Amino acid sequence: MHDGARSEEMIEQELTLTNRLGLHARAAARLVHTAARFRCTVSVAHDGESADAKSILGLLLLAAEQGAILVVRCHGDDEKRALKAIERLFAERFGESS
Amino acid sequence: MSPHPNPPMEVFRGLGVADGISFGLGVCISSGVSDIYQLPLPPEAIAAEIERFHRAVAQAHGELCALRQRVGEELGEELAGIFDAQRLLLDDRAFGDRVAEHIQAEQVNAEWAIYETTTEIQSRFDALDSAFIRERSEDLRDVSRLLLRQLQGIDSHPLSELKEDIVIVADDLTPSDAVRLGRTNVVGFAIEHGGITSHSTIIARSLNLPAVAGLTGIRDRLIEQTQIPLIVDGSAGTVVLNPDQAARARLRHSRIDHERETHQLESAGKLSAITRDGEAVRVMANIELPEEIEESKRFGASGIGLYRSEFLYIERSPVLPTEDEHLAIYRRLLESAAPHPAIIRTYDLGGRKIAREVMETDEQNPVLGQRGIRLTLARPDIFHTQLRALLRASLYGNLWIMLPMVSVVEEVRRFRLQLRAVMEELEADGLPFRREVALGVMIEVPAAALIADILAREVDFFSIGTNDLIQYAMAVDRNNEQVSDLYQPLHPGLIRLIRQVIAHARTAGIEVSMCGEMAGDARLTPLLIGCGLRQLSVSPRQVPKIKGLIRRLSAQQLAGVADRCDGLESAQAIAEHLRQSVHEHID
Repeated sequence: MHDGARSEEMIEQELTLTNRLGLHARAAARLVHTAARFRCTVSVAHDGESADAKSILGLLLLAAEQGAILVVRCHGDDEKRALKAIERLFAERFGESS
Repeated sequence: MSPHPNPPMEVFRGLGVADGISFGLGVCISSGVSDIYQLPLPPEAIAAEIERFHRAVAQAHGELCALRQRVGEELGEELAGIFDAQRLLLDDRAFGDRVAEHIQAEQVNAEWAIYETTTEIQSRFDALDSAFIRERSEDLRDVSRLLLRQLQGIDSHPLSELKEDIVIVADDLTPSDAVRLGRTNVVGFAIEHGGITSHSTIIARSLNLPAVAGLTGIRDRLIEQTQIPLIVDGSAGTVVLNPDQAARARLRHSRIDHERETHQLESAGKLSAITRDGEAVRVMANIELPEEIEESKRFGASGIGLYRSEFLYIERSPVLPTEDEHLAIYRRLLESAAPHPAIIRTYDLGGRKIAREVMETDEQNPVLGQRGIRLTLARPDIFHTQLRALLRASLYGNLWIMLPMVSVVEEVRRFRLQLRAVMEELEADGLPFRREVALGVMIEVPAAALIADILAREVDFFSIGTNDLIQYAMAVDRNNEQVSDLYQPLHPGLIRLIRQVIAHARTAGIEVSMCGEMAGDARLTPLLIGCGLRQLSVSPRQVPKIKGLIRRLSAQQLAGVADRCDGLESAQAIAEHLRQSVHEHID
């Protein structure tokens, strides 16, 4: 873990959930899949609570619904690519039709 | 494992629902999910248990992948995505690490650790105010079930591996669990809620295992510390944790007393049940499990007055018993009872009795729903097997077939048609059976009691099922504490119903008996004899007591006592009348 020493290098981005169902099981699953492709740590915060984006349980327990603003934080050598991939996932509404 | 050399004794008080006393190690089982036990493990087995959990995860993973692929091909990607979420749950460190922590910290089996972890996460889900909770909870439960199924295939730790005697501690106990567990090294049941179903109680009694219900907090106490030795005293309604020397001595004395009593009962059962004025009464046994067949003979029962055949189903649940399984037990019942009758009641499923496999829909009010004969007629496919076996068994003794929950004449006639069709089928198959089997109805619906004269033309015998008759006549659920005081066997209306049924049966010249708890209540025996009843069916252990009592009664004098009940205003008044007049007529 590189926390602490390199914490100032962490990048973060606010993203809005626009898909109809919010961060439900399938959307959370896709987020976990995406985050897991990268070596960096990825966390998602909602309403002051933060969860590991590589743990579906953590994401589900955020109970984020449509319209929620999430803060995604990436930290590690491939953090920029990870954040970009996650931004794309949000923009594509997690592959849902609406 | 206790930190103290002499841990303090603790007493939990509840409601004794099955008599007897026994001593064993407390083992928790989860509620709702069968086959999950909290098994204490020795420290050296912990690493292997965690490894066992990881192997189950790997196998479950494989199964989910295969499932996902199949669903993807057949139903489309969108639905297949559901299994992605489940796969991720399975691999989630927040889940797996927690399970391993539980195994390690509490030294328990993987099944129990999964159950605990799932419950924890579930309660966090429940706390969320979100529309998607349901979907998530279902995923979680699915994953948990999948893992448990995998674990059962991997060197499972059945309860019988524990060599000690075990007392089952549970929230609630289903009848099928009670049967399954009761046949292992389980010596008693300690149940947290009053929610022990009457069927589980019946099973505990049938297996001679003490049971106490309504023990608030006992499960949490046992979860926090496993392997606590405890005494279950079903007669006193107590459970004693870490019993001291004095408590253990009392246990030994109670056991000796119990054995002495059993011995006395066996000799008393040999005497015949004839009243002082020469009226013979047939005292039969109610039976749920094959274990009781021998017992009922030992205690001197003259035949089997009620075999609740749905227990065969409960024992096999969730699979339906085969024709051969039906046949084997009916044959044993008939051979053992002969020359006396064995009254076999067709499945009384529905109502509160578990029947997931049979019932297609949830009923709003199952006790007033499709149960007993109603279900028999509606689902000939299910009862066909039972009818074939019953007829084939008729060769082995004196078979009386009894139909539960009959309320209209038409039900008896339709059943006869079904029976005739099965007879023709057996003939075509070249299988032997007896054509003249006695057919009777259970009188437990008040409307049926009121048309006893009409029903008597259709059947060979009645059996008054008092438990349901009281429930329906008084419109009261006796398990509901708010109204259970209205469950009154001596209510004047009920006594009228019973007298009327007996009178009509005698006029028509058909047999009439009584099963249900009223028949085994010695305080009521004089009244029943006075009402003209000459056949009673009680639990095997009650047979000697009832027979002994009958020998001291005068049927003629009691007829007067029974007559004078009519016109008394309440159950209390009738009870008082019986108290005052009966002892004069007991020798």
